[in-house]
Amino acid sequence: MRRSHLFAVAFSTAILASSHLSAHVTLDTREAPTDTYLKAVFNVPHGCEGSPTTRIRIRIPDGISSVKVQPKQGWDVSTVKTKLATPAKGGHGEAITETVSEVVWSGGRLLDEHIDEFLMQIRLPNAAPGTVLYFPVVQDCEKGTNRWIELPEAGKSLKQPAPALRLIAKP
Amino acid sequence: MRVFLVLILAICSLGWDGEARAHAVLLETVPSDRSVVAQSPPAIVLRFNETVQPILVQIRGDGGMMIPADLSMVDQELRVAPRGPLAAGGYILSYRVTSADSHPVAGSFLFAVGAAPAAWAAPATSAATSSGWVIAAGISRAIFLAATLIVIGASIFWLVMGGQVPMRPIVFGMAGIAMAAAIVAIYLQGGLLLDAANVRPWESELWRIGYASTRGTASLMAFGGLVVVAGALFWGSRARRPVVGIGIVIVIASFALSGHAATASPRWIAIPTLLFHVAVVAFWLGSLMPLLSVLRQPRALRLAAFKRFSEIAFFVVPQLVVAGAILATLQIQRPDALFASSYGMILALKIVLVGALFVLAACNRWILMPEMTEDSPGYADRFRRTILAELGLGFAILCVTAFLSQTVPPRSVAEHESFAAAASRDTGHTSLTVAGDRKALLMVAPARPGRNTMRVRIFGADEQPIDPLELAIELSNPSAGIEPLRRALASVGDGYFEHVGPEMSVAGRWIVRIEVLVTDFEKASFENELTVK
Repeated sequence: MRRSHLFAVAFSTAILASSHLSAHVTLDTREAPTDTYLKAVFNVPHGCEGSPTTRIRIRIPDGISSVKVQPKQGWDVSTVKTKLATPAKGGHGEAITETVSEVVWSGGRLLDEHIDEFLMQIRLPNAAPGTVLYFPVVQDCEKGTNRWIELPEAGKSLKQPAPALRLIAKP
Repeated sequence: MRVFLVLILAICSLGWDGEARAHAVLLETVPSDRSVVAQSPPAIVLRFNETVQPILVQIRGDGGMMIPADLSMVDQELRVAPRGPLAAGGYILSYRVTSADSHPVAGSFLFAVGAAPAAWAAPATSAATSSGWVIAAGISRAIFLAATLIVIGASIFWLVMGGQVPMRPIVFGMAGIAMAAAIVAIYLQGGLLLDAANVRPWESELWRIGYASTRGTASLMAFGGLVVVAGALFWGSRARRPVVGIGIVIVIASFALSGHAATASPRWIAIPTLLFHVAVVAFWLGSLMPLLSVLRQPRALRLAAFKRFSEIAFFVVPQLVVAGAILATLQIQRPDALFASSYGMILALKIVLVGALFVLAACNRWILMPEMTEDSPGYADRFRRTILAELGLGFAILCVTAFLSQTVPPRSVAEHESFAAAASRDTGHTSLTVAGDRKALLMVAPARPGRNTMRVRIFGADEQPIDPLELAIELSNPSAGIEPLRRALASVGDGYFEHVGPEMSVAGRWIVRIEVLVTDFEKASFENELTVK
């Protein structure tokens, strides 16, 4: 009986935890090792108060040296590039002088009652484990805008938090 | 045991169901926020996207009086029925409900029964400053400028001529007009600042706010200087000349206290240039009236007076042009802005009129002056006509200048200073909150229950004001049970954002949360507290 009790609690916790994610725009992966490539999956669970999503803009945090976006049927992909103040070293030793600072999917139409994923491959920085990277997302809809750009603040529950990724030590 | 497990799973799935659709959302309210209904509604309806449980819902009337009401839930509608009909006036409804996911959803909105309460007057954006006050203040300013400059200029001319030219009674009349206009300016400035269609013209608040503004101080100083000048000229003995000089200096110095010309940066250039500009213009326009009367004086005095005026004018007028150009550059920054703003257009008009005045002045100097020395027949009439034309043109330029100082780069620095003065008095509220490397300045006046003006300015890491994409405030009063009431602030220029409204209707401790959208991807928030009493 005790075992099933535990099972029930674990099960309900899992459901509650996963269900909590479903209300926000989130990253599939919550933790990833430093200095590795990651296929980052952004989940869009709904529109803006019923209105269909027409554009997704994701701000790439500093330190990510490579961004490759997966094309998406029905959506146009574009990126905004920023020149680096000090050139970084790429995965094959080449010098990197500019990075992608923003990825934009536009021209599509995602109904409020549907869900979808937006994918890109990124190279995570070689930063201290425990560092949290934030990927603020602006979701433009036919009517209105959701800004998933809030960063954690002591004693405040966030209405529209920015998707976050925690760096862990390389295995 | 199995029953227990099923029960837990059932509860979880219920929870999941609620969670998946996110938190409850308030879809609409009847009456809606800031709307006016003709008669007391049987119930106020809050329609949510799902069934909710009320936790605390209350209606408060004018002055925060609690209105007893019954709550009922019909489908997804929360109905709040007052126990008796609501009297005419403004109300605030605050709600805190919980949805299926047990996440509280809270907020407030305003509505009114009968007519919109006085405290609800539309937010005063810079463009909407009621034109009545602007026109009245502009006309009063033009009269003040004309009368003051004529008095000061005539006195300077009198000093320059060693007290030999007669002082015409009209100068004393002008002094009286200038003093009256200086006092009226204090009242009109109060009207401009409170900008209130709904402030009654006889309210003493107008005088108080006007007095606290820099224009109020400047007006009082000019008034004092004019009293000294006119008094010394009227009653003075031989020793009166230094006293007249002191009075002139006081009046001219008063121009440094107020107005965007004096507060343009860098001020160490702006203020000396402005004072020089005022002094030269005063000398020019103010000399015209004594010169008119000198035309009837004996030839020796007449020639001496005109020669003296001509010499000084020939020397200072080019400098006047330079000073004017410097002052215009400080305001406009770039030549193309001259035609891009209404301020620039008025300034361009002023430049054209000044050009015409120069043509007249040149005509006086190079055509009529030689005629006077040669005593050509009829020169006096021609001279009188051109001097009168110069005076008329001068007055037109002053009118344009007066409106220039009202239209101004939207909401001038001086106006912000006087609002800051109002907000920092014992009844107002001013605070600076820090979040990260940014700061938020919040000013509230008068911080009394009812209509309040809230103004916010955000500073970046470099201590300079930043221009955010959006700025909103959330007002709540936890002790009175008033949940956050969100209001977007409108930019009023110079980095200031403003909201005017009756939201803080209840005395007590209010929490003002400032939410700033700095860039598309960056938000900042600041939390302030203030006491409304």
